[in-house]
Amino acid sequence: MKYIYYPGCSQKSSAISYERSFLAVCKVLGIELIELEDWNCCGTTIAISVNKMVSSFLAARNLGLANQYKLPVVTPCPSCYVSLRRILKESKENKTQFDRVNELMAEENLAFSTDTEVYHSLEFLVSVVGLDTIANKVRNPLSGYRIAPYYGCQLVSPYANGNKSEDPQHLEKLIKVLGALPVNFPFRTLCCGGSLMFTLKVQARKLSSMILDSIQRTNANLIVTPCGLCQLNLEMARNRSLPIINIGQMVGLALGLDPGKLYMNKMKIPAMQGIPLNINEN
Amino acid sequence: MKEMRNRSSLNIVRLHEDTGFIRDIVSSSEGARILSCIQCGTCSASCPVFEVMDYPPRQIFAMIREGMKHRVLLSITPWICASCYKCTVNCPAKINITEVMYRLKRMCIKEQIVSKKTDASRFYSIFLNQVSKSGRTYELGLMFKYMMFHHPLKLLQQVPHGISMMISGSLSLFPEHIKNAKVFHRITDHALMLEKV
Repeated sequence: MKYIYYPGCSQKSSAISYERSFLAVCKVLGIELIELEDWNCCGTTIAISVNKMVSSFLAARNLGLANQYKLPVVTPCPSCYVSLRRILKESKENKTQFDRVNELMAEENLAFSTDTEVYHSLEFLVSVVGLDTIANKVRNPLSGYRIAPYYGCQLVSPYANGNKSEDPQHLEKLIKVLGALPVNFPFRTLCCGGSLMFTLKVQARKLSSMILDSIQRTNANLIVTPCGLCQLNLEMARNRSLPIINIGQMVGLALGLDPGKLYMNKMKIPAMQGIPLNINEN
Repeated sequence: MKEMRNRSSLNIVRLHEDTGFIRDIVSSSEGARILSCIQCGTCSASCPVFEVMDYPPRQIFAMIREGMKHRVLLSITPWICASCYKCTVNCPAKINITEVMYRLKRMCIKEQIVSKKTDASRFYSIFLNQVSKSGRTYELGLMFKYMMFHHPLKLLQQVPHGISMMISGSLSLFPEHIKNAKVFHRITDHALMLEKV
């Protein structure tokens, strides 16, 4: 089955380990991802804070490009996911806005459709690819790993799909299927402060530390997140902490992919390099 | 008692304040449900950054209903909002709080009433300028432009992180841009003119 891959800017830069590992995982799972040609920034939380029309255009243009293929869209970035799903939701509710945005896009001969499906990579792996398909490909079960599932905030926002905001389960399901044990902790969906990294760093660090502290109090030996920005932000908050990996890296390890291919040797903080592959359960 | 009977939508606004302001918000898709606010404070209690706000979200909503336009627009609260949607998810009156915060920021920019206590709007404009011109974000350029003159010390503190990210290949050294950035820029410029808020 073919899907359109919308990377979003960070997957080409700070979250490159997420992109590379997710693409490698999809390849093993037999999924063909076609990178959206000429994609642009989704505008994230910033464009919408400045001008609604520009923000709508930025998100909708990517859907317009995807509309040429008539295939569902997959993105690893929770913020891009929310931007794209917001414009879909608003356009369904407000035909005038839909028409106005399409008028803007006509200059590039593009038009988007509200029927385009947009998935986040976590939802995609769990609900579209399916846990059974993944289970069949597990070569290196992650037994011995006690994994803290940190969702971040965007995947439980009102625009997201498939997870109950008060008690999401996608990560837990994925962790179990890979042979590891999910560990519960109170701040699974607390914001890591990623969007405030530049403008309110002290507060952002405080949130990240709260999350890391609450995980530290459990018996988890690994943290997993479906968000590249959360991964970066948590890694930067603490020099010594449990390793923080993204879902591409986690699934990749279980599928027996080479850790180098998953960018495991290129974690941002050198102290976090080299996650032990075999943990002996005492 | 008479006042109680007349409590239909806009009548609760004190007329000496700016009623245009509340009408503006109530007539928007984001703020349509704002008059259903029961002042329960769930939003403020859910907010992970409320302690650094000058007015917590509950108070912002009370102030909007009182038509206190200037005080609301001068508040740093919308600029502190982390866009995490926790308040929106929890709001029993189903008010789209995060979207209202976005709208307040757009109104601040349009009216040129921005608190001097935060320079988030400067960061936003650098970001949007970059994206409008190239179609993509460029983290390194963004950091330099935002911090170089106004936060040089913070920039220096970022250097070790920057270097470790560069070594690991997770910080692009050069900006990327889409194929026809000129047409793209023309469209974003046009969009800016079309709608001010």
